Amino acid sequence: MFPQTTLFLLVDDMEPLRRVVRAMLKNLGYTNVVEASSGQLAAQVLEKTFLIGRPVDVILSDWQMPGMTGIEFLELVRTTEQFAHLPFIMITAEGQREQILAAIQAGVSSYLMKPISPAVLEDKLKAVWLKMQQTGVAPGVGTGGASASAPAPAPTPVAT
Amino acid sequence: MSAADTLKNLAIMSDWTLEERLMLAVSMQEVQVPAGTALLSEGQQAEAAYILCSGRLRVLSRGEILGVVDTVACFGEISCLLPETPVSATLVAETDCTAYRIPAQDLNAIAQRVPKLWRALFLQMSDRLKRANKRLAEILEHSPQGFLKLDRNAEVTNEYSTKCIEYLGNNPLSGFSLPELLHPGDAASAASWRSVFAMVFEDFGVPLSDLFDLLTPEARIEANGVLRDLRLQFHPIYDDDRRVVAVDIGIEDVTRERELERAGEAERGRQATLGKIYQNPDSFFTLLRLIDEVDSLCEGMLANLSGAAAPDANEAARLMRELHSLKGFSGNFALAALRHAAHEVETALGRSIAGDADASAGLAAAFAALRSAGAEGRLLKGLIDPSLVQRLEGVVLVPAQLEAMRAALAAGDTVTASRVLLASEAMDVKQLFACWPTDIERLCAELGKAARLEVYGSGGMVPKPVFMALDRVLVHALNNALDHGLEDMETRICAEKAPEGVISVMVEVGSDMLSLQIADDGRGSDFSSVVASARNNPALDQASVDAAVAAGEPWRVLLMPGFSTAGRLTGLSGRGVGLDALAGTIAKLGGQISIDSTPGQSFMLSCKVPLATPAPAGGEGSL
Repeated sequence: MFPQTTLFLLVDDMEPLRRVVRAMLKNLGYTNVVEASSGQLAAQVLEKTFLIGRPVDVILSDWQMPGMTGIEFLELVRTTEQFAHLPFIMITAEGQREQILAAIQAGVSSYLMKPISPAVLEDKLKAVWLKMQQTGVAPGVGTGGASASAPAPAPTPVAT
Repeated sequence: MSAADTLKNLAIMSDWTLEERLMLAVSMQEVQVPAGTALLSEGQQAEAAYILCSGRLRVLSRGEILGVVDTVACFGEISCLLPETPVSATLVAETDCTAYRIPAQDLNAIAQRVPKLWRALFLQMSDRLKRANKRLAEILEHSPQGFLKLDRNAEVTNEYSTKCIEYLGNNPLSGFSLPELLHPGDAASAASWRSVFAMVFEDFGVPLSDLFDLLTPEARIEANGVLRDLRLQFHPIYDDDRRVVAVDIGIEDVTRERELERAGEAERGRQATLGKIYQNPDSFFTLLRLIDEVDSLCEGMLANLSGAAAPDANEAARLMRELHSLKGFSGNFALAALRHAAHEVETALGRSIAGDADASAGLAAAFAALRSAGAEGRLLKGLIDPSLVQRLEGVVLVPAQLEAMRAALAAGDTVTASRVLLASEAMDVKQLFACWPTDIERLCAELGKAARLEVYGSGGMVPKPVFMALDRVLVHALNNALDHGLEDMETRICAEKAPEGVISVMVEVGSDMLSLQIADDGRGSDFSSVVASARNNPALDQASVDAAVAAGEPWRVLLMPGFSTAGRLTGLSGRGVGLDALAGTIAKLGGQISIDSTPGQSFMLSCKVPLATPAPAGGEGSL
């Protein structure tokens, strides 16, 4: 699972929703959260945090936003070399199946359907972390304590 | 035990001569294996074979425990004898073990000199295979899931278990397209299923569970004349490079669980309704009367209705009001079907008045549905104990009252007698709000809001007719406050208000006056824009609007019958829906009503109802 030092970027035009997700992350032990109210501002946050040497580790972004939409922001992230591999979790409205498929094809790391529940958020983060381990994408999350360099899991002896 | 003795205990060498056994024994070297160490590792070429002498070994494949061995047995010999044949399972010492190690080259040399070894190994393998097959069959039989392996085209492969044949109704199953079996006759859904399934085989960078979540997790399928609820679970099968090559699908029959859930839900609903009835029986009888009234209104309208013509506007407005009450009451008693039917009629009627001919033509069907839902509601009366029904429908006199009345009548004092009678049926006014906390909880859950009720004031007893009349219409005030007054949580947080709204009720019973105030701390109402929208509404009597404004009481517009109905039909803010009914009732009771509001902050309804002269019996209908 993502280490507690992981830096999250939360993008949503609705302040209450950001507050809700921030509280859920806090419950999971993540207190390093930066917020942005639009895709444009989020891009600036990504840039700045990168320049000061404390880059964002995970992006959680809403789809439906005025100005730059979530999917446009995703495209921007994926086409910027230093952020191309960042875990990007898209937040979509309930029942938006086609939207989710489009997001998957556009390269999200996972999706969250509203209304977001703490348990689902935790499951999704775990799944994304595991997927990163398996594919060997080493994002150097947080202080780099836990590396993602583990190879495909070997048969695990039960007792060691 | 010596090496040669150990070999004697090995079943596959039971027919070896002493000489042959000694030939092998000289190559055997005793090793101690501490608990937790691996003797052989799955997927690797063995450098030596092992014969377990004492201790316990755990046999694992892909982390799963396949078995535990604690008898004299031989391992790794196949991999030693056949080049390019890796070991098929991992062996880990569960306890400290003693074993004999035979290097691969020695074993090969002996195999050339003792051909009997090959036959022995062959027999051992066939025995292991037999046991493995038996165990697999047992596991498939004992598992609640049937398993089938699906290829990348979403077609069933040659691997499927008996349960799948039973559940999906095809024998053999190979080659059938699972999405089509899951969505019979629905090509679009099947195609969409297949396209998501195809994505499982391409690495999109999302966890596979993200894709599996988008596939039908449950399906209702009829096979061999049996309708089943099936739950599907997806288990990817990987190749050595961890690419998905197929998907195992576990199919479980959850028909019974779903049936029990549905029955449980229905029973909980019935219990909730019963609870409500006992909690507020008078209100339940009001509901029964409402059902009858709506029924007769519908019947009357149906008789005058010709084809697709719209019904009479006045009649429709009256029915609309009663439907709104019926919706509120059936909701209070957790009668979802009745509430839904009333809602359907309301919608159809609204569209019909607005000129939708299809809706007018469909009115009869909507009425019929409402009638049967209403009939079911009436049956609930049968659930109440008959003697209780009598008490609820009639008048209950406590012994002291009965005695007082007897005495008064004996003395010819009819005034006192009738006073006693009136007092006996007086109702506690706070009882009007007894159901509100649960109603607020239910409506808030539906609307995604949060609110609580606060009741203030002395309360007191009021005559039954006043109580019954108010009980029917106060529900509109509550619905209005929750539906149109209170904002949702997000909006409230943005407006820096507490997330939870407050509905406050102030009720005082004086010697000759009931005073009642119902307030909410929601978005309030801007009277000037209310008047402006009324001016743009040709259906409203503009003279009345002018009169209200001239009198400095612009809020009266909210209580005009046309305002609420028209507002709802054109999709404008519905603030005021049903308030006309409340205002009408207060007027009938000889009381007064007024509204006060601060936009963005509060909305308050105040009513004053005289108590000194109760409505004469047989007067203005049954209130």
